[in-house]
Amino acid sequence: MYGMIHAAARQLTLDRFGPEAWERIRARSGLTDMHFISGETYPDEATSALLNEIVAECGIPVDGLLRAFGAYWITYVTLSTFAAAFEATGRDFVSFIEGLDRLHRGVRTAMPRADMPKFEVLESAAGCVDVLYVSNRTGLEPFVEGLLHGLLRRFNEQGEISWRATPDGVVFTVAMTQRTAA
Amino acid sequence: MSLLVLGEPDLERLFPAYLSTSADGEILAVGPSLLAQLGRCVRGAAFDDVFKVERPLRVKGFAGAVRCGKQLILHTSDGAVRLQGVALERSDRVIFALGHALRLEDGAPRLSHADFSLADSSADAYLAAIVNNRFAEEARLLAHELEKARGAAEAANKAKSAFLANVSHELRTPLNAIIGYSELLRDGAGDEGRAHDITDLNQIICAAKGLDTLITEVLDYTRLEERRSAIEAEPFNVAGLLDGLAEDVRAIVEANDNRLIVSPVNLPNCIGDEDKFYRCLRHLIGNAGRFTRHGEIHVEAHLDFVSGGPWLVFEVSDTGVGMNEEALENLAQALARGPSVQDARGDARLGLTLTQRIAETLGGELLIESEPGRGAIFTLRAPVRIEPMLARVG
Repeated sequence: MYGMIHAAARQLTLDRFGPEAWERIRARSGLTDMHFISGETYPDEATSALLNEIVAECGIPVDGLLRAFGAYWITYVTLSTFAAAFEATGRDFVSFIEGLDRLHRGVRTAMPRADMPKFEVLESAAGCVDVLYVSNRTGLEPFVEGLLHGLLRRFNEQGEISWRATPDGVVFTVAMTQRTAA
Repeated sequence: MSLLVLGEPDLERLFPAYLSTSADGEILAVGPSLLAQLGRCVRGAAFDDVFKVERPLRVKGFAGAVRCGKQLILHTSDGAVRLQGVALERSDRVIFALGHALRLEDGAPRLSHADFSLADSSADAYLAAIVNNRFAEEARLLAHELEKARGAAEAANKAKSAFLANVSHELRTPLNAIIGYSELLRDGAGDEGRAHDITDLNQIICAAKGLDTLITEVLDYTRLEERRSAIEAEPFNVAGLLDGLAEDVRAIVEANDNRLIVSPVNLPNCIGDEDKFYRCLRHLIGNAGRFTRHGEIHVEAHLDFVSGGPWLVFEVSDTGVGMNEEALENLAQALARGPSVQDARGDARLGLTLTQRIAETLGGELLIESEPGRGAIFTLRAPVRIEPMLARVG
């Protein structure tokens, strides 16, 4: 994965568990880089090792951590120097997901080796959105669930999220419940 | 003959920033993206009251834009919205098939993929440009932070060197007094035949001189750290250097009942920094004397022309305790790291560290070979020039 994910994982740990916890996690996961370069591609094994050590340090189940990290990722990028790219991706929940592949294509111009997932809005009607998620990675569905929750919050929406595996990929169903006050 | 007739919904999808006017320039409709960017309804307004033609340069106003048949760049009077495209005359209407001209600078309107045609890749290019811009900005920030960190580290190092130099100078003044008065007392004891006092005073003088040497080395090290130690290349005689050195290190060598053997040298005069070679050899012999008891210390010198020389090579070998591989590795790491707090207990490593730094300053190197129980060989090699014979004769 790319450096920005590692930087976000570091920030999440620092925010919630403090610098000592991060230092222990970093040492145990074998990461030597003190600076994560957003545009640098890191082996998936390094990312897995990092997440596993966060799980071990913080005593959170893997799925729970991935969900929390997914939601945090949206906040992190919104506050980062990449906020402008996020803003340009879409102005509401549905248009944002429709623009995600374009954002990922943009990222790939700078990082040709990045292996980005694909998102497609299959259906959007009556407050219910079906999103197809296709990735070469496995086991990241809770992370995507967290991402979608983070996006709902970003666009002042609330909703229930469920997912099911299909032959084309994983389909996330987002049932919007209500719009929250901005 | 019309090949394709587009209804308004199709036009909106293909050109979300389109503009439709009557034949005389009254705005009839605008695309959803243009409407959002303008932030107000302009239906019924005159084209020329809302838009200026930026390109082509000589084209002025609505009529010129319709007639020119070239790519147009339009902007609103306040410059906030900038569009590019072509004007198409269709019976009683003019359709301006427009897209957003991409801008990334601060204050430029923020666009999203919904502002772009589904039929082209402008949105992809726009997002890619934003992402790449951010990557570049992040790299600039990182470079700036690293530069700041480097500056802070250099400043801290300079402060440390200045502190060491000041403390060393402050130590040296009372130390010289100790040495001077001890020598006076020893002379007095000699005159009065107090042999026991002479022995004690000699021990004080020897220890004080050892401390003085350590202070000199600390000062030398701080100078080398600050790269203030310039090379002074002058002609010198290697045999003469070794003769003077043998006399100078006699006490150090004999302290552990060792013997110094200097191989006969017959070399031409070299041009180089004699003082630096001298100081290195003094450290190397001192180190050999410290780790050898009742043994021998050999010093040999030769010129090496093999590896692009001439290189002046000195070998200092001893019959001391030697080092195993682990000890050699530790020594190499310690030399690479520089002196530490632990090293301050003895000047052996500081001397070797200095020797290595001086060798590097001379453009040379210090090589170490050793085996447990079989002593050690320290090889100092550095480039020199040979003094021309004619110059010597002259």
